Amino acid sequence: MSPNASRLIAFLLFAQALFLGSTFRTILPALLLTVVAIGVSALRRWQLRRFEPRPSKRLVRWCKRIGFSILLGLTMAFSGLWRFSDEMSSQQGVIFMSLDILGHAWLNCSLLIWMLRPFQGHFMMLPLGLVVVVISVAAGGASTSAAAQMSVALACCVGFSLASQVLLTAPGYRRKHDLSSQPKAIASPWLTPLLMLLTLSLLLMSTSGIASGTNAILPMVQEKLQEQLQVSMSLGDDNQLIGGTRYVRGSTLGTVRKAILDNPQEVALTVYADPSPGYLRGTVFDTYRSRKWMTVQSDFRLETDDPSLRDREVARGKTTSRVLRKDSRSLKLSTFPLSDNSGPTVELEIHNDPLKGQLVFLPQSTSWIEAKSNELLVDPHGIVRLGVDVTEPYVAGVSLQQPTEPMSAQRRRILLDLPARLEEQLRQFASTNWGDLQGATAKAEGISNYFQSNYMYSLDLPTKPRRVDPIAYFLETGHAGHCEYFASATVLLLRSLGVPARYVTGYVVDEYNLQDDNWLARNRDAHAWVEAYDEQSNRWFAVESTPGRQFQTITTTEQLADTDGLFDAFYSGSDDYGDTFLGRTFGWLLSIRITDPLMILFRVAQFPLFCVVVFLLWSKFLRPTRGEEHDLDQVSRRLLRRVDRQLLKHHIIRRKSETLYQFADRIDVWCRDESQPLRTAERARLKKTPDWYRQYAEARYQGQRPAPLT
Amino acid sequence: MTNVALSATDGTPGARRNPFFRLIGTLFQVVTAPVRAFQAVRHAMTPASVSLLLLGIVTLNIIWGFPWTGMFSACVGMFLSGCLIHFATRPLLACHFTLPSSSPSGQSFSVTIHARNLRILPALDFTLSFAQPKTARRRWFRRRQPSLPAYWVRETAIRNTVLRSGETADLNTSLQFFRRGIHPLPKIIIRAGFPFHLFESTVVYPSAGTIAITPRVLAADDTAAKGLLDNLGGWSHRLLSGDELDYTGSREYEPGMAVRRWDFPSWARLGVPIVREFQSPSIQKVFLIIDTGLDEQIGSRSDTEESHFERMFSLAATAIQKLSRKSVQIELFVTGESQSNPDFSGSSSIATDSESLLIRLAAAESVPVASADEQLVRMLEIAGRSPSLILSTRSLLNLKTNANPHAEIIRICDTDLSIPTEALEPGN
Repeated sequence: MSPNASRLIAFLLFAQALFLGSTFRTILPALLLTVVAIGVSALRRWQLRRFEPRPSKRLVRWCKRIGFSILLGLTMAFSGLWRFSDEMSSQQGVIFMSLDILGHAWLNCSLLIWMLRPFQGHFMMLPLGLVVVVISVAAGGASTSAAAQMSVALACCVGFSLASQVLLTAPGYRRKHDLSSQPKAIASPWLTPLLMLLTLSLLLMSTSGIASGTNAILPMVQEKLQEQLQVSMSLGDDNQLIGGTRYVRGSTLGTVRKAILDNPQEVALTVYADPSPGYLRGTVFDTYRSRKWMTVQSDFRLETDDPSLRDREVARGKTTSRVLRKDSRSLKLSTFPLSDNSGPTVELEIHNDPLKGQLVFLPQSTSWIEAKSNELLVDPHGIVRLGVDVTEPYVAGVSLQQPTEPMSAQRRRILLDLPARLEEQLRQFASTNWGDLQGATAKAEGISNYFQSNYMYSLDLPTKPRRVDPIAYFLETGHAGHCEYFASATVLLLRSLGVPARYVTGYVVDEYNLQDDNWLARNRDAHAWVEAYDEQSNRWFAVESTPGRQFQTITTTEQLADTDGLFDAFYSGSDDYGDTFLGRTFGWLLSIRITDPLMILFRVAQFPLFCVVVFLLWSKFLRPTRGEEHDLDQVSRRLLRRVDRQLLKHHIIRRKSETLYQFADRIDVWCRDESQPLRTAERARLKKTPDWYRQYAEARYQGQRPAPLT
Repeated sequence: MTNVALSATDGTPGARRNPFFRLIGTLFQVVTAPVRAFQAVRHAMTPASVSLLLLGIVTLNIIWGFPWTGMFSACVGMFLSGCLIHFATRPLLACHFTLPSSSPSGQSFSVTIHARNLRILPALDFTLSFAQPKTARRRWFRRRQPSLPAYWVRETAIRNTVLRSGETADLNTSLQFFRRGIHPLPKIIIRAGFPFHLFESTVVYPSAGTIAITPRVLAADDTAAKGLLDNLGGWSHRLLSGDELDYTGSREYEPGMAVRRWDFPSWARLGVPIVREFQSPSIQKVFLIIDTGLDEQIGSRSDTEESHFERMFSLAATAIQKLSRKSVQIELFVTGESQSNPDFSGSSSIATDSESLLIRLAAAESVPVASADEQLVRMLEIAGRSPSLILSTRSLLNLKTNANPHAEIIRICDTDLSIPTEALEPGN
């Protein structure tokens, strides 16, 4: 392996360590280990060059192999212990911990291999490197935005290709595969880099093409898949690890309970806010059928002209640079208005765990959201379905009052829908208990009070008879239940009383973390509750009927005192940077991301560059030989043209009728002419040309390659 | 040195086929194309492409929402475009050889491969080499039996970064064969690893060129062959110095006379130098008859017989070398030659062109005894009374050689005829 190849491998290992370290916050030890490994490798290379090693015996080779395996095992054990102890103290979750341990173990294995085989490395370093990058990306080392993913892809493409070229042509690999070879001198020293650049450019173009295609197609595929899972296959269990549904969704009764019981201490959300954030909505359902909650719009693909039943796209507003409360890091976020509320707001800085899914959790009365995104897709219930890059925190502006929201007839019909099997029983039960109450709020309060005072909360449920709806059985027997049962029963009872209602799942964020000055929601805080519609005020309001629970949200004016008027400018339509040209330019400059130039380079500028390189390569080296013309002829003619061009500057042109000797004589005469305005150095250089022409003619006559003019 | 041409496109039957069969063939090609493409990709995969494939499969989980679309694109992009580029730029070379017409068994000779790029695209990052001989696969429960390979090739390969369309790359290497015969040259292996060794396809072209490996010449210090060499030496000495039967008379020596044998008794008696004169010229035609008759065919005969058989050819080669050095014209007859190699049948060569005789020895094969006997009788008739040397591995008591008093039979039989192993070491 050449010194440059060794340097390249060392650089790639360093880059891996940097990426992994920045992802898992182990940048210092990871880089330190890498530098030590690279140093040891360089030392061994120097040592092995000085003292030529003798060929070892078979037994010694076997001992070396066993020793190598033991060292690998020790390295992995060391990595596991090191990261396990760190992760246990930070309580980041099992998956994150596993990724951390595996990533560091593979990186350390690569470093060990590089130390032990400093001349040739090993081809296993290729998959190890790839896995390290994938683990880092999975753990949130890169944003999920298209630009960031593209940057990772392109960097990975370049690094992997070069490493492959180096490691798979290394002497050790070749010997093993019986391919000892004698490299031949190539036509030009810069031909190989040019060829590599050209091929790399092709690979990068195809990678960026596939990345663009994936970004365009993937949402559709995911949507279809979700649809298939939810409708055709009757999604069984929300708590399964099916791409981003680790956050509680609660489409089936019992899944919120499972989310609570499954690793209850694990932190699901972290919120930075002054007041307690309270209930954060993640998913809203409007249709109930035999244990399952669904959404008409997404699960049944409702074809309707009613805009209030369709997802709406929210375009990006202005981009602002926000200093995060978590680590004082500056982050550019785009603003998206979600409702028409123009009152004062409280800001919540919400940090999701990207490994747990793509759900966005917001309070009920969120007026706007600042997130890393280009466009949002918001469903009729105000849930942000798509568009937010959850690897970065997002900021919600929560207003004091719930916005008004008119209810169309079709939507009202959906929100009053009852399962046919239960309709009669529910109506009878509701009218008996709360039939005389007037108004949505009174009915909701009555039902809530009924459950709060007559039912017990328990996560352990009695066995119900088969083919009996669990909610009907729950109302019939009055057995103890958990939030899903209370919320579901409340929604159905409200609907049977003519109050539009919907079923909401999410997290109750009310645990204050003194150490980090933030609010935490753990798995145990997963919850289901109800939102009912008051047709008098045209507003939604929350209903909490689970015993022992009380709905909390940011509603008090004291909570708003500190933040009053912060975002008035936004709602009044004025610009933070002012309306001047400079202000707008400054805003635009701030909105440019670091990865944007890369994107422009690979999407726009790469093709012409590629064409230029292809033309250069083709015209210089790869053009087929014309007829029987030998390579020597082409090289010679090129040399002659070069010298002719130099003389052309002095208006000395070789005539077609004259021989090279005659031309050389003519140049001699011209050079001796003192009247020619030439500098001394120039004259001296020109004096060499006649001799060169003569030597050129002789060499061509003898079939030799002429020497270039020096 | 001769030039032997081999095109990489060789091997396809040139004869025109029936349109129906051509259609069937085309259909078969189309139907099996996916399988062949899959096989080609599978064989061309390197650790790099295997890593990309595996990681590509893992990253396919993006459909469930996992956040690594970039890595998915990188893996799929590199795998697919690497594969396409690799197969599009895979070199197609026409190989020509420069090599001697023949080489003695066990001696290395140099070969030059001239590989010309036939494609419009340049051939990139490829290596060209001769295939190494296959060695017996080692079983874990058996010890590897030391066996002599069919040939030895210097482990060298040409490694070219770029070979333009129509350009030629040369590879100088050396080969060594250990068995007499007309051997095809080893297969040519072209390994292409462009781009970035993501894929590495190996194309094996069968070599159309052949080389005649002539019998090993017996060395003077070869103790095992001493008896045979003595026999041969005695016969050649008698032949070259003339026989008493051809004695025509004695005469007084005169300055400038060519002296073949002094007549010392007469010199002593008369006191003047007397020389003997013979009727036969000193340089004459010699018939060398090789009896390749064997009871069984080569495939089933024993090692001893094989050894005798090959030793006979070595002796024949030694004889040819000795006689040709003395400018004796040699007419070579090899039994069975007309059957196996009609080009050489009935041809006679002058002694100085020993290489063609050695090539005929190289091409000789065993024949059944009955056929050999019949041909031997015919050959002796052709030889008439001319000096003849018959080499055989069997007893020729029944052969009627009385008609030719100058016929000498040398039988190669049970003596220690093992070829010294040090002579067979590769590279000697």
